Amino acid sequence: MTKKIVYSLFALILLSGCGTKIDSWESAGRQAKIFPEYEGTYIPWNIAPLNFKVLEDGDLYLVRFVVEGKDSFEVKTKGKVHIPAGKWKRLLEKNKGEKMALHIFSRKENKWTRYPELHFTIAEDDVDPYIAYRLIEPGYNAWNEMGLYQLSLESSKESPIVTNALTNGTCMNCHTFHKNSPGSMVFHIRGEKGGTVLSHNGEVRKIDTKAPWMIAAGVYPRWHPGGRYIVFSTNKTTQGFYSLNKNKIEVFDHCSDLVIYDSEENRLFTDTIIHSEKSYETFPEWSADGKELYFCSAPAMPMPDKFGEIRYSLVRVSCNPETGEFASRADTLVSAWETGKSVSLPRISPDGKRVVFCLYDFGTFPIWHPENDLYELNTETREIREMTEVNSGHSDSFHSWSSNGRWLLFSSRRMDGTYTRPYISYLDSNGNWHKPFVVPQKDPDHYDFRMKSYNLPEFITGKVTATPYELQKAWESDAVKPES
Amino acid sequence: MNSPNSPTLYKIAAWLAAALFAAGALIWILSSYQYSIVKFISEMQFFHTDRVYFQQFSILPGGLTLYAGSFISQFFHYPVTGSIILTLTLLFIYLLMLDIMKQCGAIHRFFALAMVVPVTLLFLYNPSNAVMYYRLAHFLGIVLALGAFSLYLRIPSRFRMIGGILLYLALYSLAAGNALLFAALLCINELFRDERSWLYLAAILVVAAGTPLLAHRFIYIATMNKVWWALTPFDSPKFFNIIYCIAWCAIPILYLLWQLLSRLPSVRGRGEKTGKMDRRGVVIALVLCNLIVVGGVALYGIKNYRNKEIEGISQMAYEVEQGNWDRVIELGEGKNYLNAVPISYFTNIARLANGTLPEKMFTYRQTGTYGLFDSWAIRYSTCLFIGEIYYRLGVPAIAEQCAFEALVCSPYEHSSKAARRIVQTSMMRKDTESFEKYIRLFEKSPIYRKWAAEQRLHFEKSLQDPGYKVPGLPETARFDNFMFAFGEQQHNLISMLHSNPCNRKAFEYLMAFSLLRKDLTVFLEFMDQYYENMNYEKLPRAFEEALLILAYNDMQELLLKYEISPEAIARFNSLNNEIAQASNAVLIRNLQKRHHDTYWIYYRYTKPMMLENIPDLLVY
Repeated sequence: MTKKIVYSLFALILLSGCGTKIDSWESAGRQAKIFPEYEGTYIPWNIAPLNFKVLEDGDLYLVRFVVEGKDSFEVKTKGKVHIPAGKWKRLLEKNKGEKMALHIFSRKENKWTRYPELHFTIAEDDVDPYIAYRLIEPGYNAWNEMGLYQLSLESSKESPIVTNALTNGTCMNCHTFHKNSPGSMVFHIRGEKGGTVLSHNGEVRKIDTKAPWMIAAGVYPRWHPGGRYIVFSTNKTTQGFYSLNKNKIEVFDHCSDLVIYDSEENRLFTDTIIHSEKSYETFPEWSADGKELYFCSAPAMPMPDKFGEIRYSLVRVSCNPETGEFASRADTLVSAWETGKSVSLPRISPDGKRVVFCLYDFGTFPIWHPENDLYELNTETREIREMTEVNSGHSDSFHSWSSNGRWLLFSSRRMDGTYTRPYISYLDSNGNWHKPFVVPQKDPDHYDFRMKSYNLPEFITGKVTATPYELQKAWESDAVKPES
Repeated sequence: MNSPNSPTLYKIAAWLAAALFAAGALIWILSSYQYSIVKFISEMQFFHTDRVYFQQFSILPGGLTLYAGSFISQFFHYPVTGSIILTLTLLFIYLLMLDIMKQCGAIHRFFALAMVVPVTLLFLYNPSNAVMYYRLAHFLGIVLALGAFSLYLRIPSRFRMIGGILLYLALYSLAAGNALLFAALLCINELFRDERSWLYLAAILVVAAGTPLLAHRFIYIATMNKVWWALTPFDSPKFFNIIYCIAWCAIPILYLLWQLLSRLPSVRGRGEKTGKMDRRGVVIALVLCNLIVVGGVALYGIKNYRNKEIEGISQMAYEVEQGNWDRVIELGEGKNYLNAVPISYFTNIARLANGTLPEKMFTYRQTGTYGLFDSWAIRYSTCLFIGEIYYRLGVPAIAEQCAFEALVCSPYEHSSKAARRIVQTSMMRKDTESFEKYIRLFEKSPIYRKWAAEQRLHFEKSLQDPGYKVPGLPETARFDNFMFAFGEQQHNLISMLHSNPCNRKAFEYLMAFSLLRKDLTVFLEFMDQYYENMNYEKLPRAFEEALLILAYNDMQELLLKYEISPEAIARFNSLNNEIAQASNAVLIRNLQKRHHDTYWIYYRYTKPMMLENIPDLLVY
């Protein structure tokens, strides 16, 4: 407490000495409201300025960014706080591991009010410099303009990876990268000239992932750590609509299986353990060493009649994609029988020790289930825990690990209940998760006015190497038919 | 005899023609386009003043003109203002054409030619073309190109090269493909100059060809077609419109023609500079010819391009949204449109809303179950129409789904009409998050700011006082959650009634559905099941007439059970006698006319359009 007072006094001296001088003020009894909210979060030291707006009554605001007794700068504004990038970058780089305090003053009718400090911590770990996502309206059936985009987390600059303006308005989805690499990407283009576009080792091509024995073309892809294999789910999916929108939409599979694509031999193959008529297999994920395949599995049942009863378990099976050999039995890690809930989207940390997944009441697709939350499984102890520090009252899903395993990026509807926004949460070296922050944008109003959802945000270690026009060219080309 | 004032006379005539054109265009737009075009354009866009909205335009070729167009056309929300803006834009095109024409020499005698482009453009917005892709920005693009060329013609000759290139680049950054129009005019001008520069011509061609290529490589992520042709008729092959194409291409062709005309011996040397004037007779004849040409084209357009039907339907759709039920019913009365479905569709909604559907539903033309529900299609107007009925039935989740689909698939940008409906459904659902999300957008919209403030006030009141009724907002129906299917409208209504057997609106629409399907077995089943719960003061006429048909088919107990009036029985007997005596088609037609307002005629003679048999209801 004494320490705090000393630092506060020091900060005030700074304020009156080298910053804007405020002779007198009234103390507010509560912290200032800001948007987006950053109080209590951990941020990477290489993050772009966390611009925000002060939601307090006033005609002028003074915000001072202070790292306890070491360094500071201030921003004077009429509402939106646009943080100078240079000062911000220097402050963060110099003070890794430190706490940053925000001193906020507001002026109204020439009277200043000071709010208690807001704090966030500059983590010692950096974050991958880019994220990739799809921008689309959170609709039901219709779409119009959509595209895959990338955003620099260090500068908040957004650029398109590919948009459907280049592909005659088609739908595109399920982009995935090999170990966060911007040079290895796969995504689907639906409809006219549809196929799966694969950008890998400097080559961009379109493949047709629908073999005659498959129920549909490949859907949810995950790269094998070795980079040669990609596992896809293949789903026959429909959706239903609720007349009273608790969940708005219910997506369900009439059947689903898993298949593996060998990018070197251009071959599709599967195994009965991941391709069974008696059960639905979906949302695959490779273990960090590539020797096990995780996926969600539920017993087959008639849909949509039983849509409220289907629950998926998280299972894993040992395999060797090079030989095509799979273990004959799957190991159940999170049992739907035991939890009474359904699992989706398992994502393994780069060190292979944690699996973060979605857990919700029933069904196969969590994004419109407000009760859906993120959970983690310790792959060694098999202990499961709810990530309460991260979760919200809305659906949090489509999570992605940073390449250093310290940051988790996920999409959440917590901001307005409808549009998903990308949030980042920190995992410290003690294994504790921290309150997430929304990916910063240049304009603090950005999320208020952007009428698109951020789908499937993924960390990438650089800008995607394939240009939009190369991807467009691949879409225009004939799809390569794999052997099967 | 020479007329010393011939240039002045031509000028007066040209201005007179401009005034006539403006007046005619304004009347034409107000009478033919007010709802189907002007209002429609305003509802298919949603201008708001935030940075995100601007950014979505700034990344498009011609985005700045699109943004300016959206800013201006938000005022189309007021149809009279919108009509004036459209008229002024077209008038401006005429004046710019006239100005360019004048600079060619004495050819302003043929001022009617300058009117070719605006008159053609006036007929672009013919709703039966089904091309709603072209927006005010497309007109503004032409204005900018002509304006730039008019400015270029005023640049001293020695600076024309640098001026032309700079104007081209500026124009490209503003109005994309229209820079090519400018380049074409510039090239024609250069070709006809006495001191033409082939180097300059080559330079402008290189710049004109190179700029889109460089923009494609370094500025825009867009198709090659877009970077070359954005905001021109060749912008989107899918939405190609021949009228717009003719108008756009006519500009360089006319300019070429004027340059050629100005070189004719009979034209060259005439005008104020030389003092050689036309004879009075020639002046009068030319002015008359011009006016006849303009008038002829206008009359041809009015005759061929007026579509009162779509304007009428659009007006009904507008009044339905406003909840002006008497006006909707009035607009629908006596309309004998080729497409009768929307008339019955909107009138049925109005009658349902004001509680007169079962009493009056056969006093106007019924087209079958297709007049109760549209068949589902991901199309802007279809989504809105289907949503309208669920909004009025008090099912906000489905109304919101339809509104959201319309918001997304609006062909211009997000639709303000659909977003307004989402605000309303959020209020019905008392969903604060959703309300806040969308109302903030309206608070940033110059046109809707006041509306947003009103809605916020109402919503806050409704949250504080659950009994507060928001003006104009339908009452939310009470029912249990069920899986909704657009392909099974009858099932949806039954599900609503199942959990709330007192839902009169759902009951009436379900009964109307059965009656229009002529499915009297199902009708009777629902009557027996739900009728008692509805507490009607008296048996509604449509139900009574349907029950009479059943009663006369060995179910006489229904007469007593439902207290069918002797007057109805007498009318039915009388009709049956007339039918028995009607021995020829004329007599049958006459009796149909006499009893047109009964279910009996519908049941016996109408071939209904069934929802399941028709792909979708089209207005555009």
